[in-house]
This record gives sequence, structure tokens and C-alpha cells, in this order.
Amino acid sequence: MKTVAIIAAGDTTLTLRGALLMYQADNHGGPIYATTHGIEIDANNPARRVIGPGVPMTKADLAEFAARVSVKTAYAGFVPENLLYTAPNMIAWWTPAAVRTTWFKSNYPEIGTTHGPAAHPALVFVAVPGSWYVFALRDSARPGPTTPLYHSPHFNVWDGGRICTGNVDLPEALAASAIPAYEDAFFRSHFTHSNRQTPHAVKTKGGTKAVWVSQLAKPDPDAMRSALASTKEDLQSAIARITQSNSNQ
Amino acid sequence: MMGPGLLAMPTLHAGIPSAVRLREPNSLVAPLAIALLQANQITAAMLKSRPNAPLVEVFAEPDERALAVAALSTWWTSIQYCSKFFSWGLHVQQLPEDGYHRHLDESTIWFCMTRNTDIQMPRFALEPRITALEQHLAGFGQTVLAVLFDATMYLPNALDPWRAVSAAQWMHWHDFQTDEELLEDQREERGYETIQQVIDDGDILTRAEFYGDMPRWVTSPARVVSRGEIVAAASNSFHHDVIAACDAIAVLVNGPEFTIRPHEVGAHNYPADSVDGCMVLLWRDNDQISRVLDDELNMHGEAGDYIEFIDVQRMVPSSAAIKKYQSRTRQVMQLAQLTERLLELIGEPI
Repeated sequence: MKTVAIIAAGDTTLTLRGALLMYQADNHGGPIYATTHGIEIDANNPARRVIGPGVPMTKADLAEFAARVSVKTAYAGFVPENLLYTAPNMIAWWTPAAVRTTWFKSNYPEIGTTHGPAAHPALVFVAVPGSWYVFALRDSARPGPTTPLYHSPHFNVWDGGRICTGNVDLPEALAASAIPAYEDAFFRSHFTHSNRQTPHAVKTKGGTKAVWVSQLAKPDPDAMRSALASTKEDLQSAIARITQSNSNQ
Repeated sequence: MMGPGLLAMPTLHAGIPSAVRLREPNSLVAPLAIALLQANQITAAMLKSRPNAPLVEVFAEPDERALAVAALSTWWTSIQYCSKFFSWGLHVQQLPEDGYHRHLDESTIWFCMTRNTDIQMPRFALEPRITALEQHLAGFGQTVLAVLFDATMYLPNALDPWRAVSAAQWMHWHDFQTDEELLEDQREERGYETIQQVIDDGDILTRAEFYGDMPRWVTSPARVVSRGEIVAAASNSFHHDVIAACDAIAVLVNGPEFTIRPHEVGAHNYPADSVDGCMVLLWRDNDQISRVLDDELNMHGEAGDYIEFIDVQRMVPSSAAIKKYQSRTRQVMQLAQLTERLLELIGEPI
């Protein structure tokens, strides 16, 4: 018989991996001794599992356990006004449109290694452990959940918005306090090449390369705004997608 | 203080499960089970308790999921054949309507076929034996290729010359009618001074390069000789076997019960690109068809949002929808079996 599986959205299989044993005196409130154990197959009965030998629970174990238990814990800290969204493993924020000094180290002969002022659109950043994403906004105003997103015209950004980090050092902390460090990592890095597969990441003929050639010649916020191409996502959709992608990794 | 190693180690109680399935409340199983029941796919035997079943099972509520799995597995097994090359699995799941991870429509389920990756993907080179047929009678090979072309349109995500030419059009040729127009555009786009620099770049695939080692009719084969002419020219068992294999396909796809259309088969019905296929058909090993197909799949893979199904069909569960899917899929399996026979004759495994 060939079995046809039925998989409902959200179904998850959790396999018994370990046990936490706690020892305490009869008088509750007294000291507790805890050990962590793996689950092993019983050598005498392969169908049966037993708790394997354990080791004393360390502070690091306890911290990890607490972190897993408190995965839904809300963000604690002051909320910067540009913060849009926060979750235990994600922050999203926006930055207004601006003319910024922009650095390039590209193999495109028209750009090469250079730097100069260029207009950047308003941007939304989303950071998760190990990756971060960037999108553009048509209007330089704080976006809401249903605000449409546009492809970031920057080099080193994959389709889907993920930023190719290359040799850029990302901040270790994933908290609102790290926003300036993330922005520094982005705006002060050298943009090198387009990672786009999508041919229409910008509306400009010649693609993102032409956009930056033009901006380096003369910063033009209106031209940058006009060049933006829709991702066909809004902010809440992008965050939902990135959340799902992050949880699958 | 007593060391932990001196304590007796408890074993697990027999009632402790080794795994837990966290099932989110969902609207998938019940409508599917009802649709299968109305389509007569859940039989009385499936509803009966097994002999000597514990009372707890006898009096338990029917497990809709188990019934649906039993019904679908019974049907899926019934349409399998003793395959030589194709090995596919089926599962039913909920998928986001838009290909991304949002907008889940809970009234919709997706029937997804996957290639069994425990065995190698079938890969064939067509050039040697099609050319042999052509050398025996001009048009014989092309006509047989046309039959194969018609068949593969109804197979789930065949990666073949016809898909490759479409991908090359999309990735390289765009709307340019000639290589000259294409190369001149790329010269301008890339800032080169000469066409030769564009060619040396190696990134552009021209039509001349794509068709360099194969006849143009490979990507648009036609029935250029009649069956009668081919039968009259047939002189050995190979020729007669090829004719018989083509006849079998023609009888099936031209029969009154063959009701499916090409757009009803494959993974294109889902709004994310598939990176797998039921087989690879090349003209020669490592040819330009192979290059284009590899490039296309890599592009989909690198874009991130891709699927590994070879066939995806959306369904709002109902008796009629179940019957329609079963009828379509049965015909696909019948055609797959006949196509295997033709491939066995005209394809060289690579």
C-alpha cells in the first residue's frame, strides 16, 4: 500500500529528546537539584526507551530552557519611534528618504570604486537571526501594516529583499538598540553588484545599475522615487513571510 | 550530599509517547473525509472495527484523518503500475494561495505529487535513436518525437526540449527575433564595443548556439510522414516496437475517455516555481537543452520561494472534485506507463 499523507498547516511533530529530572526535599521551597538527560533505546528491549545518564543542570542549560519557555516574551526596553514591529526573533524599522554618501566597489565599468551623494528612498529593514531584509517605500512616512512595499534598488539585495551580507559584520544583538548598528552596516558598506533575478526590480531602463549611475551623477530623490517597482507585498505580508521563512530554518 | 550517579535511574512509563504530533485545529480533514465518503471512496470495510478491537476503539468517534488517509491510499495504490522509470508520491496539504506564506484559504486543499527522490531522476538522450530512425526514413524520427512531445505535455513537469526552448526564450531571447538583434542589444546594455566581446562573455545563449548540435525540428517536431509510410518502411523489430508504442499512446490520448488538457497537469497551477520534474529529456548529454534547464531551475531555486512538487492541483473538497481529480490522475498514470514504453525504445538512459 502506498500511503497518501495529509498535512495540515501548522502540524508539527515533536520527538522525545530529553528529560529534566528534579530532586527536592519534602519541604517545598527548599533546595532543588536538577539534572538533564537524553532519551535512549533500551538495550534489552529496542521498542522501549529509557532516560539515559544525566548531568547536573548548568546555568547555561537553565538559561536556554528559560529562553525556549519564554519565546513569546515581549520586548523589554525603550521603543524608538522608527521601530515598526518586534517579536522575540525579529525587529522591523523604517528610515526616511535621504541623500546619503554612498560607497561602491563594483565591477561595473560605469560605477567602479567610487563614492558620492545619492538619493535613497525611505526604507524598511527587517532583521532576524542570521539574515536581514530591506524594502523601499514610495512615501517617506512611517508605514502601517498595509503599506505597499517596493523593491529596494540597492545592490547586494536578493529577490525577496534579503540583504547579501558578504563580509559585513552584523550586530550580535537582535534588539531595537541595535538599529543604528544595522543602518551603519548597510549604508556604510560598499555596494558591489546586483543580486537580482527579477528583471523589474526598478522601472528604470538599464536596471539598478542605471539608477545608481544616474544618482551618482546627480542625486535626484524624485527620480529615485519614480524608479521604484512594487514587490506586490505589503508590510504585514512581508513580515509574515520572513517570520515563516525564519522559523523553517 | 548524595551524588546523582548513585540514584536509581527511572525508566519511561509505557504510556509516555516517543513523539507528539501537534495538530493545529484546521478545516482540512473533515471536508476531505466527507467528500471522499460522498465519492464512495470510504468503504464500509474502512468503517468497520478490526477483529478483536479494544472497546475503546469500537466506541471511539470515527477518525476522519485516518479514514481519509485509508481512502486516498487505497485509490492511489490502485492506479499504480509496475513502473520502470517514474516513481511518484502523493500527499494532500494546505498551501498559501499566493505561493508565499500568507493568505491561507482554509476551504482549499492541494493535491501534491512529488518525485520519489530515493531513485535517480529518469534522464534520456534522444539523439542516437531518433537519428537512427531518421536515417532509415526521413521524417520517421521527427514524427515519433512529435508523438513523444504530445505525450509529455500531459506528464507532470517534464524537463524536455520543449520546456527548454520556452525557457531560453524567456531567459535569453526575449522578444528579439534574430541573434543579431539580441547581441546588439546586449552589447549596448553591457557597454561593450563589439559583438565579439558579448559572445566572449559567454553569458548569452544565441539561437545559433542553442541549435548548434541539433536540428531545429527537435523543439517543434511535426508528423511529417504518415503512419502508412512509416509502417511500409519498417524493416526490423525496433521499428515495429516504436510504431506499436506510438500507436498505444495515440489510442489513449485520442480515445473518448481521455479528457484531460495539458494545463491540468504539472506544478504551474501553483503560484511558485517548481524545481523538480518527472524526467529529463535531452538531445545529447550535457547539451544546450541541459544548460538552459539547469539555469532555469537554479534561477527558481535562488529566488527562494519555490516548490518541489511535480504536480499541484487545487481543490475545494466535494464529491465531484474528488472524482474529477481521480479521473485526471488515472489518465496521467496510464499515459505515463505508455510513455515509459516509448522512452525505453527511443531514449538512451544517461
